[in-house]
Amino acid sequence: MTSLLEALAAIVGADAVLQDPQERADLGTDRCRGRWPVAPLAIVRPGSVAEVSAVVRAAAAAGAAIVPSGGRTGLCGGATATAGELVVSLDRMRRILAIDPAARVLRCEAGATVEAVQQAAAAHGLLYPVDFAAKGTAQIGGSISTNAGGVKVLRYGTTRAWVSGVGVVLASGEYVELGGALVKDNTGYDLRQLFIGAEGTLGLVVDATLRLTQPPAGAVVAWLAVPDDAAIVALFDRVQRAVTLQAFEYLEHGCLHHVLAHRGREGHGPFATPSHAYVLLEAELGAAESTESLRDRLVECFAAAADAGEIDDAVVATSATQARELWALREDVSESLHRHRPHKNDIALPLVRVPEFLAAWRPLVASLLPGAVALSFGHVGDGNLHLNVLPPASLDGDAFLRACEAYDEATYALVEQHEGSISAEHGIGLLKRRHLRHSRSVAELAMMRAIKQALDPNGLFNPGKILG
Amino acid sequence: MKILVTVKRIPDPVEPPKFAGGQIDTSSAKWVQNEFDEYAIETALRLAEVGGGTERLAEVVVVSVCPATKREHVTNFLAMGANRAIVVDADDTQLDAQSVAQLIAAVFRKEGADLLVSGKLSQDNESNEVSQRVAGLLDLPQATFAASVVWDRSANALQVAREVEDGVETKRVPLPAVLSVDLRIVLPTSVKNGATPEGHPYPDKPRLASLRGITMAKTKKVDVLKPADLGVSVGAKVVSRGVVAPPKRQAGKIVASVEELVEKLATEAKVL
Repeated sequence: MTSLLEALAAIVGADAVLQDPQERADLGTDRCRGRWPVAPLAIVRPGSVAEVSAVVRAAAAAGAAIVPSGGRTGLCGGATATAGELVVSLDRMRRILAIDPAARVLRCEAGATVEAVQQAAAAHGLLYPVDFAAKGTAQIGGSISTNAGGVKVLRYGTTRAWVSGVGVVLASGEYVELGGALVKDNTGYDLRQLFIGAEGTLGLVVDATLRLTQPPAGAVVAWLAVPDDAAIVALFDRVQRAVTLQAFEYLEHGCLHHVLAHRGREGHGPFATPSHAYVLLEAELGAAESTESLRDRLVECFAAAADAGEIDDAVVATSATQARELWALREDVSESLHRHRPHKNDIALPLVRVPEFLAAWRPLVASLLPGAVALSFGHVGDGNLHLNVLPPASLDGDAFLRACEAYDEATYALVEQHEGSISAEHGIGLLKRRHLRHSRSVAELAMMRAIKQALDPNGLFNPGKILG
Repeated sequence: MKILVTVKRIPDPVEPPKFAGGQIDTSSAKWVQNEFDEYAIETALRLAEVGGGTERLAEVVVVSVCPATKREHVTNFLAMGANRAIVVDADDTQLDAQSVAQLIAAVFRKEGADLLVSGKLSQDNESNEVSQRVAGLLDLPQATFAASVVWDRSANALQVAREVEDGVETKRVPLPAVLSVDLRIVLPTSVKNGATPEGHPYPDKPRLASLRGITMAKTKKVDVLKPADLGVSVGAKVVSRGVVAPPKRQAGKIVASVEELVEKLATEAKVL
């Protein structure tokens, strides 16, 4: 491998090939740590598409595999190098190449952060609407390769909806542009779609053309107390008919309890008495509509929902501070659970099946992990639930992790029964490949293998990810 | 017991102010309630209600000086739980603090109120004058910047803790009186009325209007008075001569090394 490292140094410069053990340990994995060895050969940081092509050719010639690496904020081991792979980090390639406000497209290199793209769009009064907590670190290339979702999927869809074109370096080292700035282009297979959500297994995404849109004029935030999970479906239907929703988030009462306890507080948030669960929603202000008018529409809708027994009570924020405080009750859930070392699953279901799924999942936790605390929250408007299980005091970390293997299998089988997905937005990576069969049929898996074989016959890109 | 609570409408502080003719132009402003007044209404409601029950120890009346058609902020306070409201129909953007204080004092007298509660200041001009002026006009005892308040009903007095520079000052204020409140007044145990059970789980912030509250607010009584009805002729003895935006800050520079920084501090900024 010495000759490969020398060849790489000749391509990108010696200081862009990182071999220090600490750097390899830090940069050779995403945020899903501790389950696999982290053992990259080296980290290479090309500065141009030509350098990426040369790196790919050099790696292929030396028989070394490549792990593409973005901001490494993934949660499934998708950017983890476990067995001497070459990690290709595009963090030097972070330029915003062009922005066309009239056509509402922006072209950038893959290493630009999601936040940098948002800021470049905002400078022209436009919005790149893919938004999630890790946006300051996560890079566009990774967000495309994982088809990142986030908090605004309900309104704007996932990353896929905003990628107009991608530039990809293939296993041959050849650079191809798939799609571009065209809105209409019906000319055969839409190859760009293959690389969105492919987790870097088919090629290296090195640049992208992204769509932009008009930012909303404003929004009103409300917090609803819900008597039971079954009410969620009717409530969502009702609210969607009344207003344009930007977010419709769910958390069961235990989550709110943990958020408040984490702050050293008691009580039930905005309400005097607890309810089974809560919904935080954000409604978009219509063009030329006043905030008061939107608030009135919401109140009217909530009054009808209360009459129908879909909610116990509701509050509507009347200031930006109040809106922020309501959002914090939802956004702080993850952090408040973190210290209890939860086991997490990120699943998607058809919205109508969420109530019956939860009704089956809670007893499943009780039977397989006695004493554990089951807590669910998530982007329920998208059918996306984050299932959290807090370990019982009686089990130490390792024993709990082992116990979770059977639990995972049972949970994913339950997801399959309810026609859901075992990974809503986090991807498969190394973490979930064993369970992929619960979401993909034998025929689908065969098609996926055929595509992999066609584009990357020698298994150069991200070995072991998704398909194992 | 009757508690009067002031609420002021202010241009939404989230939106950058517009300037026209040497003044802040509020003609297209989005109006919201002054946040400190939310602390005032919360204080009044916690004094008035018996936590956990429906009994009320006092009537809570909201008062605002604003155009009668621009009273969304008043409705919000009714939705939070005030019993009724009085709107003094005047263009508050043209009034100085003394005029507003005269109007509030006149309402206080007309209502025969026992206590005025206001936020410590308004977020727009931060002048922090009205409650003190009202106390002066009515010749009533006052406690400003209250951090906690205990209502001693048998003695008809308030015990008020105020945060001052060198500690906490505790005052005993006989009613009727004027109270302005600071942020800590909404901590769960800051307001005591001797009737709400100890340990009642109040949140640590002003309440949000519940759905029931919002619906009921529309049916609550709102009296609209003109300044003349109160025998007050308003105007502004304090006139604003001009308002300008602060100069824009120049963009910072990122330097590559300590040496470059020192050199620029010496040659460009000339501070070394």
